[in-house]
Amino acid sequence: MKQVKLRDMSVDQLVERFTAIALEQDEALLNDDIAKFNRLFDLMEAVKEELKARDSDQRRALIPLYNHRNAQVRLKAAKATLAVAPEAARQVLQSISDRAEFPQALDAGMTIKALDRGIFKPT
Amino acid sequence: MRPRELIEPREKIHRMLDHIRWYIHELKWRNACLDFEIAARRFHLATKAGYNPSQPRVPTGNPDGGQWTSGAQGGAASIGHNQGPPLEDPPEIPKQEPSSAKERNNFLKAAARWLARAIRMGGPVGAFVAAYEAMSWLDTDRPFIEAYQDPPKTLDELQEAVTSPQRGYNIHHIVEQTPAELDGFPRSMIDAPDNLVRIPALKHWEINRWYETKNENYDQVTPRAYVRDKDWSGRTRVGLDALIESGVLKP
Repeated sequence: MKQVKLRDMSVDQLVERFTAIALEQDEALLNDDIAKFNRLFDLMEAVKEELKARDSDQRRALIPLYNHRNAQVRLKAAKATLAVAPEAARQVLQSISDRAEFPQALDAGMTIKALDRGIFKPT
Repeated sequence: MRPRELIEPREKIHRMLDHIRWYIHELKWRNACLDFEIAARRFHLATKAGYNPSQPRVPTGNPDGGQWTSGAQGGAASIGHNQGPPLEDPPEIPKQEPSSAKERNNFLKAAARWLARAIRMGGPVGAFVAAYEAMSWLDTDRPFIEAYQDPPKTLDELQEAVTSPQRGYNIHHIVEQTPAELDGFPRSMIDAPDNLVRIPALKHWEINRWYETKNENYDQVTPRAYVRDKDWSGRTRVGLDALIESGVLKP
């Protein structure tokens, strides 16, 4: 994944980059490449921060990814939008857990528990 | 009276026809046995994953016709629409044994996960199971895929199973052993029977990977780092939650 200047990118391009990172994360998980996953995690955090900093918090632009065919994309889109669309995002997490979409189902279930216990407070 | 040379070939032909008929019957019987065996294996895998034959299905004619339903609004196992995308195609089964451990493991993971999803969603598993049963190179690894289909068990059941090691399963520490040891917890506590469970090996790997990967839930650090300042009961809570959300431990 290339380093790029996020500030120069449009919202659509940022959403595209977010999706590409999530797909690479999925591949890294399948290959047990944890170091790569964690590098990709940091890249995704930067994309989320950039979207959040845009006018009216453009993390909402990630909501259409709730319907993506890939479970890692849906999981990450849901977690990234918990602050702006809490109910809908939570439903996506619940669906991943209910559908036994492992390995994402484990993190989806743990995220719901972390929300309910106040461990995770999305901002 | 017909000459002997004309009678013998006719009897010979009858005997050959009888033999062919018998052979066809045997093939039909063998085919029926095979169908039964496939159906039995499918049922075995499905019941391991918690399939309930009396669970209601959405009536035909509906968009989700034939799929499982809880009978209540928002059944968890429906396919497509707002409940997520439809079940994807099964992973391709390599005809030859993969040359690397990575390829082999990736297939085992993909197959186990797809089968679990398909069974949960009431998807068609017959063709995949039949193809997978036919691959002799999988003989030693099939227990890993089948163990993954186990339904959730009680903590007592998982702890008692520790004394019966079995292929396809790993002994798992509820509180992760290495960080606990680094933080000064004694081995007697780490290896105590109440901290050990026998779980499907592929679930054990998934939980380990989850502990190792950075997570938004815990201020962008890994769950492994997050539990480092927790006491034993705090670590146990996270460990038990991970087993529940993996579908290994009954809630």
